[in-house]
Amino acid sequence: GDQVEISAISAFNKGTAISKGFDQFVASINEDKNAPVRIRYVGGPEAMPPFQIGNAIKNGVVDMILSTGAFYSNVMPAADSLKLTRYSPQELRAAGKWSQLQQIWKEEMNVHLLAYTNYGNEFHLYTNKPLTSANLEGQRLRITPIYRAFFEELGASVMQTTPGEVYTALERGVVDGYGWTMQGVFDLGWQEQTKYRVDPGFYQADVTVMVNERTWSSKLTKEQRDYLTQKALWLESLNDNNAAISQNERKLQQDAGIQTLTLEGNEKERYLKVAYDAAWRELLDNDEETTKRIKEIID
Amino acid sequence: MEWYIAIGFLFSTLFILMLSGLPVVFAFFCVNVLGAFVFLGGEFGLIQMARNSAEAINSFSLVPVPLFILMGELLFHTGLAQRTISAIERLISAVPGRLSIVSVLGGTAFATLSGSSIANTAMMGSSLLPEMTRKGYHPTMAMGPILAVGGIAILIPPSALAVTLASLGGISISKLLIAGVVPGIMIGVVTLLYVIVRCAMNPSLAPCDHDLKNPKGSKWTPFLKDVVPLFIIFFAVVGSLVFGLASPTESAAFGVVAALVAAFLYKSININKIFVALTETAKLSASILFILVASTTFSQILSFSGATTGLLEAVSNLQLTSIHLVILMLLTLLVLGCFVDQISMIMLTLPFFIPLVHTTGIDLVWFGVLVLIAMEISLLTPPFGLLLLVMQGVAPGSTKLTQVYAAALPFVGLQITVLIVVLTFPNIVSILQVPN
Amino acid sequence: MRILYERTLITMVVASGLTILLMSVMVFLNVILRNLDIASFSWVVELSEYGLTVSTFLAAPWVLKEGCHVSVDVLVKNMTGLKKAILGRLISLVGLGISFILLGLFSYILYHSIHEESLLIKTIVIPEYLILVFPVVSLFFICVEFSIRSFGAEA
Ligand code: NA
Ligand code: NA
Repeated sequence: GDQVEISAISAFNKGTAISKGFDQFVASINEDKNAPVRIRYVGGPEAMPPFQIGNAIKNGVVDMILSTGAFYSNVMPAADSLKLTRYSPQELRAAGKWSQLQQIWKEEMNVHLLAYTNYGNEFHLYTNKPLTSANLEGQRLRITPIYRAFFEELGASVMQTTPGEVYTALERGVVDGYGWTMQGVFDLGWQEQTKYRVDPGFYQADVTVMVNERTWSSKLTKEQRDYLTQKALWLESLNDNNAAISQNERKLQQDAGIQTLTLEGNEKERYLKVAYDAAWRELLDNDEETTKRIKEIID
Repeated sequence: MEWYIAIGFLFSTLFILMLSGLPVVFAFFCVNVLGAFVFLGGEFGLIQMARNSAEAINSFSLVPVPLFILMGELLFHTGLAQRTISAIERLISAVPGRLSIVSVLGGTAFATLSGSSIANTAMMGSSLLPEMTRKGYHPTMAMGPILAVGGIAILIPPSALAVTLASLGGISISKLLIAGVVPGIMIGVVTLLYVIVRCAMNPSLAPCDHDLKNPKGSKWTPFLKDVVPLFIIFFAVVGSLVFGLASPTESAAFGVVAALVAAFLYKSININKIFVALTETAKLSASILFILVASTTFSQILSFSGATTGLLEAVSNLQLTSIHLVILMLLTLLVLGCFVDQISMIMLTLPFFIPLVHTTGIDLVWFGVLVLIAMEISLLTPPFGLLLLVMQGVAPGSTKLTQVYAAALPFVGLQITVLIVVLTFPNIVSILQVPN
Repeated sequence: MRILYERTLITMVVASGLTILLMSVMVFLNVILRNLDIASFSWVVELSEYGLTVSTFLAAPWVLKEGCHVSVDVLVKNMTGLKKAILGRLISLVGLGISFILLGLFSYILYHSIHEESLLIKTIVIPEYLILVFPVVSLFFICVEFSIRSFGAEA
């Protein structure tokens, strides 16, 4: 059949931990000479500001994006809720939940939700001030909006900085710690300034590949759509490696001198309950209707 | 469309519009509209471009730009900056080219307080130039040194441009700020030596004056009174960083508050002066940030068009050694710097340069310092040298732009020498770095 | 009319300066309060970011009016009389054209943002139009200024 070229933009820099799976996805399609689809990788944040990526995919300025929900909350306030999923992408698909989500994303974002990457890469609290219970009072933490409500509810004093300044802020003691995914601490050298990682992890990195709806239904043939869906399933199967990758990351962090602080029993339960309750409450405040629909599917 | 057609199309339109005298920011906007229509795709591409523009400067790492400008304007309009100069002036007497030396020392001192080379040049020019002209100084000795040290403000922290460069290029902000200190001082020193040697060889360049004979006692009192407290402002900024009170971005706010407090303690502030300082800050900061709005969007469109990756691949295929690559990049900057302002310079080139620097393993901080020096030089290169235009603005009415060009020329030569020295001895940038 | 126009622009530039002063004081106080362990406001960063956009667009028309936007006027500098006047008006006309297109685009975005009740959701949640209104107002006055320069009595 014919080969069609579609453009793709990522909200993450190529080569970072979050972007790895998608990089492989693009490479494996473009290396396949008989593939019915070619992907023209336009670039990362240097080509499109991450907070504008939602508008770009909605209006078809680009055919495909890789992004997390927090970046396009200006278009779809409830999107960030995917981080709270209790099911893996495979479980979502098997139970028919994925197509329900696809329907919501189609209505809200004008996109076809193609693949869910990075599942299994959980967020953790990293800090230089030890803690023994689910209590963050006295902790000064660098946050992003993804887990601000959670850390604040546990009594932390929070501040925002650009990622480029986190290293200096930790070094000088401007902040005691930060929240980040299990994979990716090494991307910006933060391991040098980190003493402890708090277990358990919370939330999932919710990074999805989306295709503009018009591109999906009009520009692509059924054969091309099926091909991309097969590739999407392969991309999601890479998530299975995340357990092993995270285990390896754990080892690397330990070698870099990051000790593990584990919350157990009641403290662990309270920690996780506050994490999820705070996030749901915030999302319901921003868009009650859609958040409720999503909560019924994934919680 | 092939990348070289895209790049040729975008750049030639941009240069024609710029040279026609349309304000740079609107030249960029023009190209952005054309580029968005062609590369982002019609109507929705245009709308996306506008959205990206509204978002372009929404970044905390740019907050020091207006803050440092406000600090400088407060020092200038409350007269605190001028008091520093006259205090330094009293320390030096009966030396060839006394006022030229004062402008080098004063300009370097102000550079440690100000992040803005424009503010620095405007301040030194308007406070010293009238007196030098009156005493019959040659334009080269009157305007030259002021122009030469004006740019040091971007090398010695605080420096809004260094912060911008570091955040755009993913360079450690604190490391780049510290790395700029030694080259900054080097430029100050060679400028000073040049002035002394030239004036000693040819006294008519700077006619000697004897109207300042102070008894020894009164020399140091104004120095202590007027210079030392200003250095406390410097320490407010640097100290808040070093002692972990504030992030690098936040430390700029300490400078503003310290300047306000100092002006208050020296009883040299009133509501009128604050009003003027605020208006001037708004003007200067908007003229810089508005260009950033347009040029950030331009560089996104450039990436989107495929020109960035195309050029990168082409240059990587040249298989240059890293030193040749650095020289090629610096030459590009210096040529570009003849035509565009500092921020546009880095906005246009960083999308190409930073990936190249990464792939060839060139030290980012060293590269950042070289870029800063190249930016400093281009402040002085005709036809478009920002400081040359500022100088013509503050100089006596009859001064022609060509006279300003001529005055700056020897100092451009000196700074290129410093650039070559830093290029040859990369260790210069790591002298003050704290080892990991 | 002319006086009203100038006063409006001056008010905008003063508001821009005050925004920058406010940002400084806000960031400073936040650092002090955080270090005294009294309070820490995570929205300070976001407000300062918005402050950059707001102050820049507020001051831009006045900067144009004062002729302080950076430009390469080497060619124009050597021209005299009629030639210079004609080129000046021609350039202003190009400026007017481009600003008018941008004004149209931003108005379209603003209209849709109000219509769709778009929100900017970070630590603080604000309606998007609160920010988008500034480029629209700014470009409106920039258009006015370019019109005066293109068609006004004196060049
Ligand atoms: Na400086
Ligand atoms: Na220049």
